[in-house]
Amino acid sequence: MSHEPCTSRHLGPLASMRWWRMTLKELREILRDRRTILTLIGMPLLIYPLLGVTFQKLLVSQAANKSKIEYRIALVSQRDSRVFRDLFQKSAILRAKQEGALDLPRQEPAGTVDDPIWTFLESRDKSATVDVDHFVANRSADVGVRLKSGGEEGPWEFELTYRSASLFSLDARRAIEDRLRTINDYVVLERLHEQDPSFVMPLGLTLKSVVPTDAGSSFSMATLIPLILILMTVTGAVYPAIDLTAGERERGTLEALISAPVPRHELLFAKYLAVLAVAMLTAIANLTSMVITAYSNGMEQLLFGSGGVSFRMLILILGLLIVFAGFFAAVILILTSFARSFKEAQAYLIPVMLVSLAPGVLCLLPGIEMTAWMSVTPLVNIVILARDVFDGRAQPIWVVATLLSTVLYSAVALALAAKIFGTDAVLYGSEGSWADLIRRPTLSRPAASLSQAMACLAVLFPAFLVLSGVPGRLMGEWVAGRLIGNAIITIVLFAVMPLALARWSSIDLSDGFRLRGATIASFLAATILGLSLWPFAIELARFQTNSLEQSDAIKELFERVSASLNAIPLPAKLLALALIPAVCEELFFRGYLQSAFRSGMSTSLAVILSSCLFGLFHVIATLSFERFAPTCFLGLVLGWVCYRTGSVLPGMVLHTIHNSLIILMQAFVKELAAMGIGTEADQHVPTSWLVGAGLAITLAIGILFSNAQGKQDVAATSLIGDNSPAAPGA
Amino acid sequence: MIRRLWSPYDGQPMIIVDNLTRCFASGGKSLVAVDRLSFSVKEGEVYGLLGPNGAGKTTTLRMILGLLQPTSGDASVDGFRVSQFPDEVKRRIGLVSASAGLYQWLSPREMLLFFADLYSIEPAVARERLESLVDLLDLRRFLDQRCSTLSTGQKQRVTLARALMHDPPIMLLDEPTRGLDVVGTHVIFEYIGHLRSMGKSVVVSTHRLDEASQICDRLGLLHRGTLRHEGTFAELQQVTGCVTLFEMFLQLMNQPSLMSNSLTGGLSG
Repeated sequence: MSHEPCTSRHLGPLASMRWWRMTLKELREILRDRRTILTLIGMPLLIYPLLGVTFQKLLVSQAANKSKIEYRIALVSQRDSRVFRDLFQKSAILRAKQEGALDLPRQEPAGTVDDPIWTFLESRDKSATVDVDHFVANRSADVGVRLKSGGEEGPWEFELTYRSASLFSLDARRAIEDRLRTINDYVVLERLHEQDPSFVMPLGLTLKSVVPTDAGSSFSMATLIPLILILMTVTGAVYPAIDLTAGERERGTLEALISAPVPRHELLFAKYLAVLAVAMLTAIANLTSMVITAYSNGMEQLLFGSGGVSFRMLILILGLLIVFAGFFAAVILILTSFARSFKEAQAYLIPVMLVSLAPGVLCLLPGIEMTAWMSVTPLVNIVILARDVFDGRAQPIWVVATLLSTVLYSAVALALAAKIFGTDAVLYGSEGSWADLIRRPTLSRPAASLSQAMACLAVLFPAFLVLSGVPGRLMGEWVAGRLIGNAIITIVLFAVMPLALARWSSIDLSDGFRLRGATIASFLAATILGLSLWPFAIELARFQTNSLEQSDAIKELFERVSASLNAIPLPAKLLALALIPAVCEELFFRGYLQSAFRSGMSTSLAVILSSCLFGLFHVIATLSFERFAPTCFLGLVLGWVCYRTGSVLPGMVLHTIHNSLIILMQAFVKELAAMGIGTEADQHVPTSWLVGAGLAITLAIGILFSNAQGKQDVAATSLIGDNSPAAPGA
Repeated sequence: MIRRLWSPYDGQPMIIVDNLTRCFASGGKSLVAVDRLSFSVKEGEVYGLLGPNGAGKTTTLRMILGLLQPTSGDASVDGFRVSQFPDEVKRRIGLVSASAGLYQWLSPREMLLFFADLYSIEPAVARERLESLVDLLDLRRFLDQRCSTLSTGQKQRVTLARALMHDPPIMLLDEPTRGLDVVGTHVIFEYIGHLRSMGKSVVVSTHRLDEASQICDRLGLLHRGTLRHEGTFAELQQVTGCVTLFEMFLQLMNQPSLMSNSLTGGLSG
């Protein structure tokens, strides 16, 4: 019998470095797969040069036109030419005088819009006349000039020929007109001065050119870089993440791994490091290929800003990439740890990819600036920071805030992934007849499973993204129509869909949606909360958006339909914007989602997670990130109320009252302003109101704490396994 | 510090399964896979856990190893409660499962040393043990090939070696002969013989009755998550009045209380 070798557990440094050896093993496994090398490292090395060549072709053809502006002017005869060019020369001198320059204009024209290159085309034959119309028509010249009448001293009458369909020809014509008009203006002014020496033109113009402050001199390709950055990190991280978690389960090696006396978080951490390493490897391959391509094609200024590629910038980009990849790898690992097969993992990842692309596209939009709340919004913060680093206008405070929050989110995501990775539900969930996911269950169950909730979200999220724009398109400016459309979408997505799904999977509606009665005290507390939360919501919204003219808490419901909303009767507004959203959202976020989450995690985590999703959906609906904090705050309160009372009904009351109050405030904005509660940015809610509301909230919380029904809810939401009937005869 | 229920040298069983129960929620329906199961395995004993598919054999083994949480009840391994000291339990158990896979891109040598590392075995000890297992299971020829290139029989032998890399006193074999040919089955028989000679406690789950009577010291007949009969083969013959294990099974399934079982028709017909 040999017991001794098995108890050799304290190996000091040997055991403590094991995570590193485990990481190396994972890396070895990934990198030996030639497909990985090919797709992750070979592809970028091929793609960028190809893209670069195409891109360069495109740029060269544009740049040829844009770099030097040259107007070609065809003249009918040599005499015409002499007269015209004399006048042209004179006008140049006059212009220089007007602009205050004492010298003659430079010999070498710049070839810009203001100082184009003029090329005069004339016949060498003194007596020949040229058909300038023909030359202009066949694009040999941009403008044709014919002297219609006039001797040596003038006055002259010119005819200008141009192609009205060609912007370039049109520009040339206008430039000639401008030049010649200078002479006319000059002569007129001279004459007027002769008549009246005190005469002054009624208005004078001084021109002053400035450089735009936002994105350099023109559209910078640097705004595209974050998007590419996201894509390359995602492609790098996805395959190894699936392979090392769901893939391991599929191949049957996970069981042996979990059978070893190694903490699951250590196993996952090694996998995380390996995924991160591969993602970074891909990123470096992409970046290298990108830089080399840009350098060899002479596009580095275009891609990396006016400074070109610098060592400092590359280090910065790599640093950002590590943080970004670290966050992304952790998030992906949550989903792939949850998945039981390669296919399932891919299905989970698609919505995440879509979501992660959104911020990349967002920062392409002009006028998006880093704010406090953006700096703590995952993904968005890092993408905007990357753009700012490229533009050279990143502020240290946002750098710190972004990095700190991202590292924090990564840690949370990693902890979550470690919790899910290798749990028996994942390890054995799909085995045998126990977890037949496709077959419709026959007996009622207390709440939707975590995976079902994820599936529901995966459908709902893109549906919501797509549908929320439809009423605006269909109804146009008809506000009532848009209100009805939005109400229908809310009802279908947040009430009908989850209810139908729950019914199909035999989820008990009273348990799975918390659709059950609550004590009168619960409703009382909810009513008090509904009446007293708004000052804090407004202050929270104002806290984050000082610059906005209107408080976001008030903008909340009006983002899409703010115009001419006042024309809608108040009861209709209350129905469409307060009652229906409140009831449906409570049903989904607190009823369905929170119950499902609670079957797989602790209550507090379930409340936080469903509140975050609640906030996220509102961000998408209104396209403003500032919505996140106030909505999350409301979600946390509602989640807690639902947990304490064991029912969604009090939450519905709370939510309806809260929404209604904000609509009423909008309707009676003038009356409120007189009381010192305004929507202007500098107007805070009076302290007395805040104190009163605070007292009311305390009272409500007190009522809820003394409410015994909370305990009932705890029992009903414990794990399904614990809930199953005891063994017969036990 | 870790407190054992008993010391391993005071003659207590190596494995004690005490009222283990596991329910699975199957889409709302609660299915009792293992129902208040109790048995024990002594040091150096080979215990056969027999039963038809779905009897709860695999679930029981997983609960002993701590991979599945029991709904109620507990098991102890070498004096350690599974619920309290999962790592101590895992350290003492080697698992051979028919569904186990190998790392496709690693060689058997790399994989075996990796698992030794997971069990905190010193590198020198691990290399030594690898050598002895290579000889025992004849792995030399393909020790440095990639696992993906190995044949089924070779893969099986690597899996058997993997379970022994940390030299555990207890071995759990979950349907070890499933999907194997005559040669593969013979290797398993020899392997179990080796384990017996090393004095290890072994639990073998199988639905192959012919092999069980040959290799097991004691047998437990499992049906629908409960233990119906337990004892040596001779004892079982005496209790049931049947000569072969197959007859015992038929009798077990034809018990009046189980007449509704659809398996009955399939097996007897």
